[in-house]
Amino acid sequence: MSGSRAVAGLSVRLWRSAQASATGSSAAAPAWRTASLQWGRGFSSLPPHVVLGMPALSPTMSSGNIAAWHVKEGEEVSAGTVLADIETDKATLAFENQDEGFVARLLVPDGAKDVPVGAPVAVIVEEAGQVAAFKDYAAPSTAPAPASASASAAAAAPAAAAQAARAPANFRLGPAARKALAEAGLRLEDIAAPTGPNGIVTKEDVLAAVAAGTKGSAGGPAAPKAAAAAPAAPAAAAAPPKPAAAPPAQQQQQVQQKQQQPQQQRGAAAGPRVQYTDVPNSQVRRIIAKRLLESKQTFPALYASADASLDGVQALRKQLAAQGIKVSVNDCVVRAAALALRDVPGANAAWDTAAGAAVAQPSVDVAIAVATEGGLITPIVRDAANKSLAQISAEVRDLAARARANKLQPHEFQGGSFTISNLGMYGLDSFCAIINPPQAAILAVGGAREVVEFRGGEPQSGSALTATISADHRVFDGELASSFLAAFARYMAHPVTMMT
Amino acid sequence: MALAAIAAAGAAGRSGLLPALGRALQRGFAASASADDKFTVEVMPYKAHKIEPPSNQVETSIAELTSMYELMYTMRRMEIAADMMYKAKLIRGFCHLYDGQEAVMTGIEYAINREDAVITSYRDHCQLLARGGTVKQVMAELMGKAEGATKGVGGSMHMYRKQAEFYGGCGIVGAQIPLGAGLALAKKYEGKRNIGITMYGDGAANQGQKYEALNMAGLWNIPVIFVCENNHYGMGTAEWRAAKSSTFYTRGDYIPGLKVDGMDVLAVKNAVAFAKQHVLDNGPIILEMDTYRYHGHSMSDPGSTYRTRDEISTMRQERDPVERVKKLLLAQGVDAGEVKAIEKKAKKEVDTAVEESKVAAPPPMSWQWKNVYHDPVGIKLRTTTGGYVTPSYDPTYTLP
Repeated sequence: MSGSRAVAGLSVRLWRSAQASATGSSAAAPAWRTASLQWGRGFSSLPPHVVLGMPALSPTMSSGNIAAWHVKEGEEVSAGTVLADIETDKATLAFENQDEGFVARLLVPDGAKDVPVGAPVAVIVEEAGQVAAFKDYAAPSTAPAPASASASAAAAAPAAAAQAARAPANFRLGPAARKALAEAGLRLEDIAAPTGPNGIVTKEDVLAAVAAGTKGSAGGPAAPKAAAAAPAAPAAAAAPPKPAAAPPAQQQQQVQQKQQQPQQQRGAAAGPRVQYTDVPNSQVRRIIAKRLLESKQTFPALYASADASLDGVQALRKQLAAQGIKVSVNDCVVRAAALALRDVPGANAAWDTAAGAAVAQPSVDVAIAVATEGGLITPIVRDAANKSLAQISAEVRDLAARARANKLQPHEFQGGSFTISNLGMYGLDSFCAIINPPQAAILAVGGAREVVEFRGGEPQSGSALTATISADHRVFDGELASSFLAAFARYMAHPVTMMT
Repeated sequence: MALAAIAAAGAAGRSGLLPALGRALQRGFAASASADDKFTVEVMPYKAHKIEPPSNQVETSIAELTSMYELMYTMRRMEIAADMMYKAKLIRGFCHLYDGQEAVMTGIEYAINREDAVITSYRDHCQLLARGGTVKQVMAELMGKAEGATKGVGGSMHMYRKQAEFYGGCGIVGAQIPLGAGLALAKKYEGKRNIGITMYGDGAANQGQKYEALNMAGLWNIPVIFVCENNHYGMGTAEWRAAKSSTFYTRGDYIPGLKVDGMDVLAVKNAVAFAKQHVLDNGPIILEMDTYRYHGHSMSDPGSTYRTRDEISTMRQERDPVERVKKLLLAQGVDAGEVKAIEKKAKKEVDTAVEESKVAAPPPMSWQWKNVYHDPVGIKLRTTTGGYVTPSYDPTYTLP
């Protein structure tokens, strides 16, 4: 590679002043900058070096996170070497080095967040021997960025005197900020800490000021509204208005308590200003959403429901419990459904799009819908028709626990020929579920409820549950669905048949 | 080692060995007598279309190589500085960098004179430099300062130097191709023994007006050289995905063409000199320069989403045009200290230019509507704030 270069001390100051200018520090210039125009003078005891600032990797970037450093201190770098992955407002991009040298110091750690553009992040020197000189190097402090729009900054300033009417540097206002100001009943002077470029007040500044409870100055559209809402305010104060309460809850609790009264007035006066937090959608939910839509759109669904008597099941459970075997209603449901599928083989099928026909599945694999934090997952009980109640019970318990702990193997939740979704524990009587492609049907089981049945002309109380099957009409027709449900109800009503 | 690297790069460089003090006596299959400080270098053979290619033995001298190295190294440092300034948000807007392609413009410049016209696309910082501009003019223009090449009003894509017959600097892809043919036609029309060079990229090579220009140039024997700077990627589209035929030197059909190793300044210079002689009497020719850009298409493009970093670093190691000339110089016995001095000087020039440009003043607002029309006939231009201004014409308001 090309040999070492003797970089004049000049270029050092140039790059440093580059990033100093980038942060706009014309007023609060670090002490060393006064030496910047002296040619050919080294300064202090540091060898010639280049301080790299956070690069603006996209035109709209104002700060970025260092996702990961790809070099270590002391490593040699050349043109084109990737120094770090930087997360910008748009994407994660690579920060490439342009020159040869050695990394003397990394000034911000892995994972550093919100490093403003131009803030020093690394020091590059020409020779490996110069690296040691930078062990305790601290970047010259750059001029502080304009006060952040966080409520903490706003709340830290005396809350009562928060309406420090300091005219912002720039009277320009974008349409979003203008609308936000009008809605909040504030004026430009009320925003104490604009964060936009050149001191422009942005919409975020207005929202932050609202959240911090900045009072509007007299006059403007808020005044008559406040006067009209004053009688309503005491009434509203009793029940804290939801929209106004929501933003402080997202900021700091103590701010909310301090500002409760004026906040509610503000809320009443400002109108329905709803704030929200965005919860990013996880990958799992995204996929669930996609598949549900696909299922609803592509399958012609047939819905049929039937009641199944639970008296026999409850009695069986009591008997088994007396023997120390714990079996839940859901386990019986699974077994009954599996046996019904065995008896009505046409029901244990799937629609094969390529073949254009219903294809019988080789075995009865019943999937149980389990709700976890990340979304709904369906672990499968394979060959349920040939497993005993106790086996099914143990397996379902194990699968559900592991599903909640996110420890399922892929083969344990992919596949299956039938799904059972039980929302009985939430108090539902009946509901219709959405079929899980590529299966052909799903059984939605409600909760047990007290019913009055006529037996032998006499009303008797009992318990029953409603099971609704959502089936792919291409595979099931009415007759098939009802024979399945009838078989299911029969097994449930006479649990002794489930023992065979 | 340096020589092995050159050989591995595919362009057969010096196969000679021990440099004599300051002078080289060559051995090896490229042997030729050296007189004074001239010597011969073997470059990659040219691929030709409907023409006899020139010899791939290029004669050059230490003085010429040194001067080429200075220019190319300055170009490289200037583009690196532009990158850093852009990342520091001191340069805004579009910025298309030329690093990696320095050999093309340098080779062209050393084969023609200042009466031959050159026009190129938006990747024009180094063209201005080669055509007599200074780094300060480029930097100031990039930062939008009044001391820039086009008074801070043009920006990265609009740099001109008419007194050196450099016509820019054109933002619309491929629009400069027929313009360049027209410039050459003007030379012929005025009876001058000068040519026009019109430069475009592999992305623009598929545009319609290029073929219209080729047709007219062929028909009327216009002395124009069509230079296709093939850096293998349109913005992000590889040449084989954009063009049915990516042998751009044959795309002229009836127009002869040469394919040149665009990372070797001597190969480029030789080809352009040959082409100049050809077009003066025989009509147009296409030169495809096989080159590479290290940066993305522009500063908004990271440059790594459509090509691997391995590819870029391989290019840097094996075919870097600036390194090649440096190795050649060192192999010829030029003192390493001299080379370093050149580099230092270039760096200082770039650094000074950056510093001066940072503190320079931007152009006054009134320059926005000065010299928009030669004869404004009292019309009014609408400004961005909604008012109207009458443009003025000032004949003394010229470019540096």
